[in-house]
Amino acid sequence: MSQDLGNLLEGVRNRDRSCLARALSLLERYPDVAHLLPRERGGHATVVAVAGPPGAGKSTLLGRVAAEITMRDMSVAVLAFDPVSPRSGGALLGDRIRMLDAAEHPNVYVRSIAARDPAGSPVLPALLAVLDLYGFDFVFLEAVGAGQEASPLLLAADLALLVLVPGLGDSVQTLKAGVLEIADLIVINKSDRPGAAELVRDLSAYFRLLADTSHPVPPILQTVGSEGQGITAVLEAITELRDRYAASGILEERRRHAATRLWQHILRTRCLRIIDELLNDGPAPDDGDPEAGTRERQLYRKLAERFALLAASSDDSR
Amino acid sequence: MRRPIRVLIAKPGLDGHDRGAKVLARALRDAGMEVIYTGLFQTPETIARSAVDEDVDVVGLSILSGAHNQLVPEVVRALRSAGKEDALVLVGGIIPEEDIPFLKAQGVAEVFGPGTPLSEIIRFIETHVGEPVRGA
Repeated sequence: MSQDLGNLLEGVRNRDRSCLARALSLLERYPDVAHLLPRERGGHATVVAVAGPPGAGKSTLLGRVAAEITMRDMSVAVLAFDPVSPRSGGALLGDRIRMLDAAEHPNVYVRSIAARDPAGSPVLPALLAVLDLYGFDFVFLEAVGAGQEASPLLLAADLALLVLVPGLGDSVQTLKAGVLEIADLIVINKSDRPGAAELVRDLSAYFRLLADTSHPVPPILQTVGSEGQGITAVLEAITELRDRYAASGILEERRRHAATRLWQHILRTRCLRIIDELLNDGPAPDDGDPEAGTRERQLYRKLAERFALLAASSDDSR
Repeated sequence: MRRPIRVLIAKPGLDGHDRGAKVLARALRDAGMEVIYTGLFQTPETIARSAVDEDVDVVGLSILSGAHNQLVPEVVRALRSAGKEDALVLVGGIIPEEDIPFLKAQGVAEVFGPGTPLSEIIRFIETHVGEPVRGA
């Protein structure tokens, strides 16, 4: 397994798409191979999380932005998260169909991901490390929605983009305790619909109220994704924010946090794997089993041995 | 840990009927698979590109136009030249009996005609996914 990932990563470094796709699959399937990833961030990708209510046009908008990026001779990856059926565990991943034109370009990579874990994707930092290794200029993380489920994506990203549409009325209210708080940039999509100007006005008023707090007021842009209107301005705003955050140190701080999470993720999965191995080694003791306490102590002793082994070996395992 | 089976459902060529493809996409989702649906009017190159990028285990082609003898070899060729040789290729649609041997010789694992029970397609995928691809 680790051999496989090593070979695939070599391919990713040489910008082989097939290796990239298979490396991402391997990490999804066996999260604990993440410890083989290079620890330092090799690439220069600007990572943008994109949240917004279902139907806001996130995928269509991203398809357009991706096309705009290729026109500037840069490359982009989109990880598009879609919900998983709570009943079957299956998923219908329908974001790609909105970006097919852009996805044909050699500088665009689109990957659909079933948002399997309720907390987002625990393996996300590892996936990002692989995309970074490939050398993408931009990485977009398209969230399922704009609520709690978007948070892991937002925390892993350099910038948070919120897509809203006119006519949802109360959505602004419901978003107040969510993405709106940490959005770096707001895009009002489908701005050819009635109510767009009012939404911009309401949002501007909302942010004026917060003007004294530490969070900077996000720029508010208007687009019509299906027509490709306003796309250049979105890309320019992203680039500008990235540069401003880089200059002020915000970017570095966010990346440090993301790196910490990757490191924690790697350690957590390795520890959990060991615990699982030992726990699966025999049935649970019955109620009132006099041996239960002994067995539990034995388990802890074995865990201590295994962790000690890990401590002794981790220096030369990398 | 087993990853769910990933399936690409696409319609190459020019016929505009995607009802069957959508019904199948839903049925596979309900069977626990991850289905990437790319819809109508796909070129063989786009299909191959999607199959590589999404790292799917199965490529399902729905063809009702009668152009299967033309389209299927093109898709299989595009998949191979894109380095996607490990995917199970399935064809659904209105395919005359006498064309099936030719399609299978091209590397198609199975052909499902109208009225095939969805459960049969699901069972076929679950049984044959990951098998080496036949054909030239």
